[in-house]
Amino acid sequence: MGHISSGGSGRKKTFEPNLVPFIDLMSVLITFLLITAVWTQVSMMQIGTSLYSKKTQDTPPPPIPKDADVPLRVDVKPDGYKIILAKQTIQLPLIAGEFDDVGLKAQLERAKQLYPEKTDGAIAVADELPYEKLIRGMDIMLNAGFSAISVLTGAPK
Amino acid sequence: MAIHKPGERFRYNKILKKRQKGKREVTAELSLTAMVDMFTVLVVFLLQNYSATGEVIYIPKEVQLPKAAKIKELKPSVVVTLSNKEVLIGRKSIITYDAVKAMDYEVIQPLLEEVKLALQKSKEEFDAKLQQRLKKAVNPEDPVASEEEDLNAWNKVTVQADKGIDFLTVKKVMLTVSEAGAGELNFAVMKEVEKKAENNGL
Repeated sequence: MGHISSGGSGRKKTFEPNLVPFIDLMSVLITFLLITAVWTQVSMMQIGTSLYSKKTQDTPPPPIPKDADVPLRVDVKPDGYKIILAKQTIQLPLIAGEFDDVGLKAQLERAKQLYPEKTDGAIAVADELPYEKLIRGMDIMLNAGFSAISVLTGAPK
Repeated sequence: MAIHKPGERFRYNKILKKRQKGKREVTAELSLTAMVDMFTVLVVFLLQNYSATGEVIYIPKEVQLPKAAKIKELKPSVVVTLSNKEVLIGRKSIITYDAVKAMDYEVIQPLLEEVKLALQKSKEEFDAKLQQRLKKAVNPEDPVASEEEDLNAWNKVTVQADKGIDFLTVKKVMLTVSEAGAGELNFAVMKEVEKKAENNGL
C-alpha cells in the first residue's frame, strides 16, 4: 500500500493512494461528531408583545405596530377556532374531532392580504385545553406573517 | 486418482510449500474502498445534522415538547420546566404539578421566590460580563468591542411545558414568572420538519 508498483513487464502502472491517514482522520471525526451530536433540536417561540411582560421604567415601550387599531384575535375553544378580524367574526368548528388548522391558516392569510402591514395579533386559549393548542395557534399565526403575538389571560369569548 | 494417506491436508499445500522455501511471498491486501465510502457518507451526514449551539436546556424524560415550524434559535436563559409531575427551575424541583393544579389562578409563591433568585443571579453574571466587556472596550488595542449587546438579555425566561398540560396551569406559571420580574417570555418547542408541515397544508 502507498506505493507505485510497476507490473512484471513494466508496461502496467497501478497507483494506490495511502488511505491510512485518511481513515484515521475519518475515525477521529466520526467519533467526535457522534459524541458531541445533539439529537434533540429544541428551539423557542417568542411572545411578541407579551401582556405578561413587566414594564419597568428603564425599558422603553415597544413601538406600536402598524394597523394595530384593527383587532385580530384568535380564540381557541373546545368547539373550534374563532377569528375576530376588525368587525368580522369567523367560526371554524372542529372537523372530525380535530381543529381546523388548514382553515385557520387560510383565514389568517386572507387577513394578511387585507392588512399586509399588520403584524400584531392576540390569541386566547380555553383553560381546559392542552398547552399544545396554544403553540399550534401561535405557530399558524407566525406562519401567516403575524410576528407580534400577545397571549391573552382571559378566557376566549 | 492417487490414493492418499488419511489425515490433515492443506488446500494450498503448494503455496505453503513454496513459502516455506522462501521463494514467493503471499500478501493479502484488505479492500478499504467500501469502508472509506461508508466513513465519507457518515461524516457528511453528521456534519449536516451538526448543531453548533448544542443543548442549552435540560429536558426531563417525562416532558414532551410541542412541535412548531416557525421557531427561533434557543438562547441561554432562566428555564422553568413544567412537567406532569413537578415544576422545576433548571434541574431543581420547586413544587409538584398536583399542588399547582389545585391552586386558583394566582401566583405560585415558592416558584416566585426561586425565579427571583435565578433572575438576580442571571443579572449579576450579566453585569460581570458587561464590566469585562467595558474594560476591553476602554483598551484601544482590543478590537472586540463593537458587538451589539442586548442589555435586557438577563431577564429572559424560557418556559418548557409538556404539550398535554392544561393551559390554566401554564398561565399560572407565566403569571408567576412575570411577577418575578421576567421581561421576555419564550416557549421551548421542538423543531418541526418543514416538509411535513407543507404536506399538511401548513
